[in-house]
Amino acid sequence: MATNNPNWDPADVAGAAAGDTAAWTRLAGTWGPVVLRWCSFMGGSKIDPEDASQQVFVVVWRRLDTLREPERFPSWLFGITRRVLADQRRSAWTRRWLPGVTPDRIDTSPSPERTAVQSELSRRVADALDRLTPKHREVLILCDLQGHTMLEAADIIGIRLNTAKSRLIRARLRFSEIASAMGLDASGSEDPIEEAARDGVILASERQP
Amino acid sequence: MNKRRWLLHIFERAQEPTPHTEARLQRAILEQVPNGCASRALLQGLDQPSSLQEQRLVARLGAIPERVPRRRALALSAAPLAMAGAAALGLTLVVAHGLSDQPEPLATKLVVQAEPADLAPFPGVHLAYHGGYGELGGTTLSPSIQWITGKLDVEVEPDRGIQLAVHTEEATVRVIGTRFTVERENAQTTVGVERGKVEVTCSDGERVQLTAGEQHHCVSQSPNMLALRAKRLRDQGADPAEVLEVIHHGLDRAEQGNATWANLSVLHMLSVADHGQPDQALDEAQRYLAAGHANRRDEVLRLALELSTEPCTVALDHRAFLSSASASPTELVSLSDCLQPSEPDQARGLLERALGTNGLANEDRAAVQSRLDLLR
Repeated sequence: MATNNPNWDPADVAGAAAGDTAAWTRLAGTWGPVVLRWCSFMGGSKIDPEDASQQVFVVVWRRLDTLREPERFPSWLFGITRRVLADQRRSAWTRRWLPGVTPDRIDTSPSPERTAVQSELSRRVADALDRLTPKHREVLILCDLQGHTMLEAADIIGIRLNTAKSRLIRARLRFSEIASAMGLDASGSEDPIEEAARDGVILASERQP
Repeated sequence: MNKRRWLLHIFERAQEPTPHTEARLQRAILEQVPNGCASRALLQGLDQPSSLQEQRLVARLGAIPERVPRRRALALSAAPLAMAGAAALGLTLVVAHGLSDQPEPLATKLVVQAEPADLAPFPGVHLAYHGGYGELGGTTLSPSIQWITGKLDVEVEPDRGIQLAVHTEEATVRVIGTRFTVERENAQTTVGVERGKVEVTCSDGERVQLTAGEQHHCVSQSPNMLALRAKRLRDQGADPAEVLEVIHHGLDRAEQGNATWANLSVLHMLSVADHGQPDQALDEAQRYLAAGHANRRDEVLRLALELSTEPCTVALDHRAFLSSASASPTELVSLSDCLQPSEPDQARGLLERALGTNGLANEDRAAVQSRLDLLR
């Protein structure tokens, strides 16, 4: 499967599963930043992306020997990320709504440093993303932020290409509505034909068998 | 059903569209549904994680194989009863493993020790200090040390994913896998790196990254702490120019007339005098007294008396203050000396008051008594 990680070697998955720490280091070095970006964009403001990413890799380490097809590692990793984020969002919600529940860390709110650094536009776009359903958010991030084709996104998420297409279209519609309601300028400038080609919408060769 | 919804409906249903349907759909989609330009343009506004975050995460991930045990599959081929027992045991193991993965909260006082203290509060971190004190908090994954005073040696094993931070009033030091020292003395924090790399953020916002062999100082921005630092530096015989620099820094931030400003002003006069400029120090003292500042007035007056070539002129200018109820025996005697030629009765009265106080040492008391006898 084509990915945004050209240096990725499925042999490292097998190596790490067998306990090869050098393979694990390579795997973590390649996929750590990818998972960090997934967690940053899909986690929302209440989740610390670094902690969430570490939790993802803790699960990966514990279950790596159960992965039968190393080539499927990206979608397997994405599935774990999705579940960890769902757990963490639930925990964040519990901490928010149940008085007296002890947080498992000192403070999960963005640090003053992060708040200062994060631009106003970034904060508003993140707010808009946060209002999408998790399914819409993930397909939008994979395709429109991280530049995966629809075929790649479908493979990573583990859904059929057609489902990915329709989900992406719905996500864009919804995101556009939310962004408009929030006063964000949603006008694009890229040529729509180029755009559609990049998405894989009109490439019949990419249709799933 | 509007056209957009109809298109979506068709699109979702069309598992294997014919070339004709596909072409129609493509045209329709390009005309009707969002093509991604807009969302892509908007999403470009999101801040990406920094390379520092990525490096930090990769370092944390490298430690996972050492810290996290692999989950073991249960032996399902055993008899049903054994399976039930194994399942119960497995559940216990999973729970135990789950707990061991969670960062554990820390709360340890690092108290003053007569002997050098050397401790490893949890695997991966080693602390050593002598004479200083602070507090260890946070969690085993993100330990946080609030260091109050003294010198602290910190060693964090690399690749364990431990994000340790040391906070002092002047600085925050963040580290992943290194050996470094944080020393807080005279309201200044000095960070020295022996191995690895740390990021230091001073309280004024200055941020530097230090590598092995480098050192950085963070000085407090609080006028009160700057006054403390200037006093200690002066007491330790530091270069007056260095002391004056700290005082100027504090005076720029202090509110004129308040207690901290007065402390800094007195230190300034003393340091200017130390710097070989007694006339300037005297000018400052006289301006201070003339302005009627109440804080530390006695010390400024004493300094003016000491520095002036005509101390009686200064004393008589401030006669009311030197003879007030709060005047010290030394001040009463000083004023009495100045009044002897012109107002001997007043001078005698002041000496009698000085003898009536408890603040005189025996030998001074004898000297004052002999002066009084002479006046009588």
